[in-house]
Amino acid sequence: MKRTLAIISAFVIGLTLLAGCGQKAGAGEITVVLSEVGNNLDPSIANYTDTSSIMSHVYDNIINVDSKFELIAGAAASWEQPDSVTIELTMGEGFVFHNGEPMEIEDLEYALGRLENVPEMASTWGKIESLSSNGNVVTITLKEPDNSFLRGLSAIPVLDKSYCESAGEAYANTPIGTGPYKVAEYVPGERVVLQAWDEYPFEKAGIGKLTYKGISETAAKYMAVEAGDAQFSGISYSDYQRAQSNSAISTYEGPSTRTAFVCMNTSAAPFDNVNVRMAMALAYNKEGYMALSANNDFVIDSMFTPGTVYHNSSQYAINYDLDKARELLTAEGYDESNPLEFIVAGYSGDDPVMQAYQADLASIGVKVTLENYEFGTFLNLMMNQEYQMLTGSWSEVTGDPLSAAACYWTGSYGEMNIAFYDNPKCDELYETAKTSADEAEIIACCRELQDIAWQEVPLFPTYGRYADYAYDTALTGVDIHPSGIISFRAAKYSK
Amino acid sequence: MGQTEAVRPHRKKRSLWTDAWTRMRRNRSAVIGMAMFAIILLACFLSPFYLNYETNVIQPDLEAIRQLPTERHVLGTDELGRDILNRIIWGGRTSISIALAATVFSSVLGIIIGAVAAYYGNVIDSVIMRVADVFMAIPSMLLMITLVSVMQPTASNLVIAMSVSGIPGIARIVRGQMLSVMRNEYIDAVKGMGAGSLRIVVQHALPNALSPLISQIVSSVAGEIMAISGLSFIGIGIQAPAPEWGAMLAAGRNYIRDQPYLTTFPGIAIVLTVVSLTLLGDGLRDALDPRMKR
Amino acid sequence: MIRYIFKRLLQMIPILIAVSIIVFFMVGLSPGDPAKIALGMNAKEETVAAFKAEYGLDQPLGMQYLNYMGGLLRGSLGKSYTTKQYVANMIAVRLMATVIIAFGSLILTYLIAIPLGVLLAVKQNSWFDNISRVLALMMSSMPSFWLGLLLILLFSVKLGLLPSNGFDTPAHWILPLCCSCFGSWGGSSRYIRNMVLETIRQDYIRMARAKGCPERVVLFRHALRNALMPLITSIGMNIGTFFGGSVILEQLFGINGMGKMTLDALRQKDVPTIMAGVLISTVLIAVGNLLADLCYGLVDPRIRSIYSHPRKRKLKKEVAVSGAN
Repeated sequence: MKRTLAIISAFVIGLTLLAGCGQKAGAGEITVVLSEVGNNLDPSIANYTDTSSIMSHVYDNIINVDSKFELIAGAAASWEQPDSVTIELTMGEGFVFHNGEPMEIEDLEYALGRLENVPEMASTWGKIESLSSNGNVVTITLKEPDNSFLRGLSAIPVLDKSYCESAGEAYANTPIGTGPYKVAEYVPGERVVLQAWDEYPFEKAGIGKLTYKGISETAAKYMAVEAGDAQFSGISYSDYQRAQSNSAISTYEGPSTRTAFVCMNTSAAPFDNVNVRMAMALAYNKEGYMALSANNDFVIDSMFTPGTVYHNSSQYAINYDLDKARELLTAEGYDESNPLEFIVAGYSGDDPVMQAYQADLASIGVKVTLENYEFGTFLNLMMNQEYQMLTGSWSEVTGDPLSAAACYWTGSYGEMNIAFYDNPKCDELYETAKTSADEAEIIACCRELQDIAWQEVPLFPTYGRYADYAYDTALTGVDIHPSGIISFRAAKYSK
Repeated sequence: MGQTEAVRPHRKKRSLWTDAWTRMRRNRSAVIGMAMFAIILLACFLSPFYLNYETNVIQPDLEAIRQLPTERHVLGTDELGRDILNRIIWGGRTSISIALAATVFSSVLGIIIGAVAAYYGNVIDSVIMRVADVFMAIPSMLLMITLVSVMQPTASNLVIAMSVSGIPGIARIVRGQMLSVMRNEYIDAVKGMGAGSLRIVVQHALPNALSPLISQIVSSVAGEIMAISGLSFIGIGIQAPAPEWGAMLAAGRNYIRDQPYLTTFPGIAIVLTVVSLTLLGDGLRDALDPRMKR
Repeated sequence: MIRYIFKRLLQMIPILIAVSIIVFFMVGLSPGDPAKIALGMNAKEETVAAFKAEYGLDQPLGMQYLNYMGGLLRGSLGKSYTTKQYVANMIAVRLMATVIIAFGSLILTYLIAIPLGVLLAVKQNSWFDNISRVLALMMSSMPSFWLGLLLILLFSVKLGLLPSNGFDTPAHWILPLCCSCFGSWGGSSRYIRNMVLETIRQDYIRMARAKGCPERVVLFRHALRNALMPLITSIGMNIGTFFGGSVILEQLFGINGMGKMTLDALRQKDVPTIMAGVLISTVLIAVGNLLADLCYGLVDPRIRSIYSHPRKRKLKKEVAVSGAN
């Protein structure tokens, strides 16, 4: 089992400042399999990990996160916070755009300023009071202290201001960035081809051409690597085990930030009753259902990413106990003559885990209907608070603990707080964590939130996942980040 | 033929239907088809008597996931540990009933619409045929998917969506047959004898128009079964945990390398059912075809 | 001939208009707000309102339809709500794949089914015939997606011969096309066999044989030609089936085609894309039907004679009468 080698190489390249002017980029080409190639290449708009993965080779983000989610330099070489609402970013030196223009301070400022017109980044833009630049420093003034803002910069790429302004809407799919790769070809929904850039001012890419293809059939992903049609792919757990006996294929398994959960609409019956919600959590057999997953899932006990300092295994965590669930429901007046009935909304088709959960609930007299809606109807149900229970998953790519905390914050209705849970205590804890400068205080707030989460159960976490990958043994130096961002910047392919 | 039957009043009545039955009995493949379909029908529709839906069909068994066929589970278990054979049988009940319902629905409506068009003629006929053309212009799968997408995925909505695409075709056939029948002189004769229009249509024109339709209807049941499987395969047909052959294929396809029986057996079930219906339909067509020599 | 084609093309227009009305209002009246779906959960009220204004979604449904048709007349298929690209571009990328599947299946079907059907008719009731009929029956009863799974298992996984995903090279086309045609090979070859058998029993064939025509001429010039004519009209029906089947096959084989595009659009209420997908499929099927009817005209000399030049008509009619018998 190969382990990842280095930290994100952008940081390495930027710091070592190898003046490789005369060197050309490496040769060789590989094909990488993703689940889907999107229709828009602007990572801020597309908001898909796959797109961010691809574009991390074309763009540099303002700040980067390493595999431990520590903040490291990106397009900004360093930053300071003179007071709680001011951030000063010092621009990194030597960055050049693909069109030959050097990166200037106004490009860094533009990277933030343009968010005003990107609806998907509205919440980030909403935190900014003012932007200004002076020399090689950009100063951001926030409306109020916010601990997640700096981290959020790791998802914001630096763009060439003059190019974007002249290109209009076309900038997204014919991007000009500062990264070691240029986009050579883009067929929306089908494929992206990246070509190594010979004039990259830092250490050039080791692989000449990256072709990204989308394959949605799980079994077909591994088959592509087996057949040599692709050199890198995420795979299912059974394929991961199968790959162990294939000497031409290397594998990697590592923790990911994927968090799966079951969420209930706390603003309406029957889930406005905390005991009913608790019964639902008691009826969920986390250990038992694990075998049903095609991936290497593990049980989690918190919406906060395990392994981080903000995570806490609360003493109030609920474990599988069908009898207790039945007792709670009977105490609330639900029995054979008055059974609890509700609908679980989904959109992604067959879900064996939910079917098993449905059967467990049926054994204690609860009638559950599993309904798959078309995605649009599903979103509408959720946004209009018309659903009862839903099941979903998401992935936190910046390592920001506050996004998990926002699950209980009324300011994030429909975004992170999809249970529409209203608890002034949680709001207070979130505000404190957001604005506090004291790390210990933030950790304490998160702990308390996790305690409340298990006592109130607006939503309960189910599984995290070990992500499995298979790749050609001749491919080395791939950086696989727990967030799901795969970087080939430092990779080499020896065929 | 055509001679007076009054001479032998006790002769067994020979109608189109008894002739057809005799012919069918002699057609070996039609008999096979009939037998197969009868077995399938019985097995599926008697299932509530020997299978308990809750315990045998949808109850997961987390200890017995994706097991190979054994004595206890003759065709193996699926991704939730449920017996595949039981699910195939129950799924057949669902698929066949929906297919039958959709076919009956589209046939009845198609017959009525076609008969109306043929009988009234002129403007009504043109309008109806143009509307039929429009609906036939859209690829039927696309039409079904569109309809199901905009409605809730319940069984009754599925029946409606699936029958819509079949109605124009049947209406067309009925209309064509009726037009040719109605031009026959014997209709004039019946009219001359004073029969009312409804009687003409129902008692004379319609039965003669129907015989080519019957095999078409039987074949379309087979087509509907394939269509339901297709819709469930892409996720917009029958919803879990209710079993359905196409849905079982979709659920099993991730395991196709290690446990291919998850997909093989439901597929075989589809093939056997469709084969039996096709043989039956062909047999009916041959039996009812007046041109065939005895 | 040209007039006939023109007339048929004109006839297509009211049908397309009717199809567009039906689909537009069906989608429009179903639950779900396209603006909210396209912009995602995080969108603010003002953004949603701006989006609606830009795409004309704040107007009543009838007005939206007229706007759409107006755009269509000006040559614009509109912009997708979800992908923000011009629908025309999206289609340009995907059209080739779907056309290859649909029309390729059509050609491949008849390429194999016609010779096979004739062979079966000639060898009627031999063991070859009987076994083939059973096989053909089973082939036409298999759902294409199941067959696809089996073929992938055999050719991609076990044998490693053919790719299981994508549509880049002709090698990628083999499996999807075979899946698509498999059922029709069974059905069409049986149909052709029956038609040939029926035709061969006709009196004019006996006449031709009595005249001393070699069997091959009897078979191909007389029997096959007459047997094929009803087959040509069924081409139109088959194209529709292939188009519909391609939706499922595209999902299975990961082909970026119009079926998948339309399916995704239906799921997200992306009205411009849905309309384009349905209308273009309808047009292609109508064109296919037109081509089928033209072929019918080519094959059947009686029809050809009606539409040919008046000066030649008299002579042709005589030839036609004896040629068709």
